[in-house]
Amino acid sequence: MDTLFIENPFRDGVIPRCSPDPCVLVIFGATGDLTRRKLVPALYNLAHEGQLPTGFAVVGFARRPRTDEEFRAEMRAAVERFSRFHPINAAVWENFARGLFYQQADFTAPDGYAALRARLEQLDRERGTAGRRLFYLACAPSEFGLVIERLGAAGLVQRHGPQRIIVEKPFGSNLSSARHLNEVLTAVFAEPEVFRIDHYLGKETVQNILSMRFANAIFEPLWNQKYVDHVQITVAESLGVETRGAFYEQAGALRDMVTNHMMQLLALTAMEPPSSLAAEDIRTEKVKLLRAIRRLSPGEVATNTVRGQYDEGFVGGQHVPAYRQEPHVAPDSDTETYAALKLHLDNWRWSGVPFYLRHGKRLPKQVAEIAVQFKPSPAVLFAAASSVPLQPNVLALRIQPDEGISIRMNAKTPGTTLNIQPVKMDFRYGGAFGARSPEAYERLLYDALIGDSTLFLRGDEVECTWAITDTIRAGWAENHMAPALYEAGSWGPREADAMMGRDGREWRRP
Amino acid sequence: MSSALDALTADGTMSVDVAQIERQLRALWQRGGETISRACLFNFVVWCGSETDAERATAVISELTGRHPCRAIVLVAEPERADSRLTASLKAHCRLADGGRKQVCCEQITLGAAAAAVSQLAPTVLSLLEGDLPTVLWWRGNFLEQLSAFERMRAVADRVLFDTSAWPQAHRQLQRLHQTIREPPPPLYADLSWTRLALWRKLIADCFDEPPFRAMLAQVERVVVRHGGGPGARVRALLYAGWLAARLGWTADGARDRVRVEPCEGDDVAAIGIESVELRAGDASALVRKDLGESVAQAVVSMPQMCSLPRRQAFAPMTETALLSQQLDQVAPHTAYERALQLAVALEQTA
Repeated sequence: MDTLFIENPFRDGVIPRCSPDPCVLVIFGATGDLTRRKLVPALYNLAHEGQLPTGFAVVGFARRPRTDEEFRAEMRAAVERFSRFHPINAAVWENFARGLFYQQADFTAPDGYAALRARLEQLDRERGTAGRRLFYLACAPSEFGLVIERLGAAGLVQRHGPQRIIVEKPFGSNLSSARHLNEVLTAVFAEPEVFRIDHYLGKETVQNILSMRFANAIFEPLWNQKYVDHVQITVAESLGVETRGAFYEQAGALRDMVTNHMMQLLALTAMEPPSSLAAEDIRTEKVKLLRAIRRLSPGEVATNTVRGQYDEGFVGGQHVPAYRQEPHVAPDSDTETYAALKLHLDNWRWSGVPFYLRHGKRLPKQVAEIAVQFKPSPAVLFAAASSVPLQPNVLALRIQPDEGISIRMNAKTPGTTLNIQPVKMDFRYGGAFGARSPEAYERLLYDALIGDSTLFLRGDEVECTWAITDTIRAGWAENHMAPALYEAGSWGPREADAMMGRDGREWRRP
Repeated sequence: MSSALDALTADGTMSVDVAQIERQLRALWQRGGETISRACLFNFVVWCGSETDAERATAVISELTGRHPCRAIVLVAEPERADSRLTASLKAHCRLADGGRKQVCCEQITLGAAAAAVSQLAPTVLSLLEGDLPTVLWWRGNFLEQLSAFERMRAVADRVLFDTSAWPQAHRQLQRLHQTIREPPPPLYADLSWTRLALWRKLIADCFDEPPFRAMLAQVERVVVRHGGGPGARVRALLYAGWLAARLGWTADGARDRVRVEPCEGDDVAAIGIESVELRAGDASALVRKDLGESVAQAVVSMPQMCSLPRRQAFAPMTETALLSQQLDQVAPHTAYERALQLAVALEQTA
């Protein structure tokens, strides 16, 4: 008797990744930097690896006039420059480029969406994409709502149909705008069809936080208030605002980095083990954790947070200007380029353990790390023998650069006397695994194509993070907290050291 | 870097007494100081049939350690040579990491054995293995022709890598190979011929993700795999055909009736591995094809009133280092390979 094949028999577990269904990716803002530097090179990389379905097509949607051919030529130049494959494979490019199209239209004009619909229907017929669409909002955030509404009005989205949408960050600028954007989105798309991107989650080392925590039995038993003294999360940048002055004036460090990337790092570090690796289970645990973050009263904001702004100074041996001297920045700007927070999680696991978060621009180096400092060991045995107090153990997860894990522990120095000194045990991904990881956007685009939302943010998750940072911003306003100046190239304002000092702790020097 | 280590990272090696290997290695790494770190994820034991073969293996190891840091132990067995001493030498493979601030190094120990000393290799290797790490044995050459030495080495290995594409007339030895890899205790086996088929397997799998096309699989009445005369082409074609038959749920008899593994004709067949595979079911067919000299393979499914767009995929020949790297990345049981091999045996017996 002939066998009926419900599943593809040739995907026998040896071929690990499934192929997405044929679909059209529509990029709004297709002439922008993100499309050129990240999106199309990532798509080409996927095509090169054979991970795009046959019939896959990209329609670039933007205001500037372009023909399909001009768009393809522009994207080819972008791929040549930004793809991780050099030189580009002519045959793969030719096949990929055949599926690249351009639709010139104003985001506000309904006609443009009608023309887009006609074009997509034509592609369905020619390329077998069967109505499957992935819309990518790579345009200005102020246009997100408009594009979503126009998509709905033009009949480009069927309720629970085969359409998905990727929304770039920033997702709103506060809780109320994020809620509004969620409402606009969910009026047109169902929540499982919405993929809110935070490219930090596409980084291999961020994903490794979960592997490190839950694939190693030695850490989890210690991962709680009984053994952990405090946690420090640092995302430091040596760069200033560069050409993003106008944007940054509106955003500031808190909204630009803390609300999204740093809250994600905090959630992945502190969440409970999910019941499975399914997207919903992981996201539910993250939301539970974010909800457990204690809201700060205005008085607590004054003592538990620090705002800073960089003054002129030296970074990497070069003199750099103050933030207020940067292009497109007001000379009396009070936008913060540095934020430090002390947060508490009101749950069983982390009760009483402070989480210190800091992010700043123009700090001495580019580094992102999570450091878990353990409580000191009882000093009864070695206190008398050692002239200095024993250093507590620290487990540091480095996100960038030199991704890896290090553990600080105490060891006896060689010799006849009993001297204890801290030593560092280091594991570096770069040393152990020499291979280059795929770009974050490659992973995220592929996941969106196959409908896996694990590395994307859920609507309630985004709202939770805005609720936390809105409270802080409100406290800053109420307390008239102007940013404290810090010298470019230093580790931030003195006030941040004082905040730690009040707790008898110090910031790490990563 | 210390001058001693410098010498070992270029073309040089350091001859050492077998009993002093570990001590010499420790001294070397200590001299490297803070700027060098040593990385090791597994023991990589490589069996070579000659000095020349060991040189080629060393070049591969040097490339491989960048991605797969290991302690490499290269064994050069030359039973015909008169000298009966066991010789040893050391080498280091280093690369820059952490933005050029640090050297990450791996060590290679080469043991040479002639005549009676060949039997000392296995116990010597055992004493040199890094504890608590898996051991991968890469047997360069045909282990069926050196079965007694192979069995001694197999006993220390968690995984065995070999390449039937490099075996002359491998297709005539498939049955013995199948028996050998089934013998307990079973390490995991990986045939690089099988690794070379990964893209072919993926391309045919890609054809049937969509249910309308998958419907034809229940009616497949003919599978034709065409191959050239390149090294190992026949054995890969047989393994591919065996795998297709196994995945379609066919028995050995069913495979014999419906599968053809055919050499293709032409002046340039010596440069061709697998040329194409076709699955036919009445008016429907699926064809995956790679033309000589092309850097892409093309796959297309045709059914009455339906035709898939051709899928094209970059298809560059893989170097030995890339094949090994892929195998080292994927630790998987060899069940699919074993089943493919079993049916390949049946198909070769029919031919």
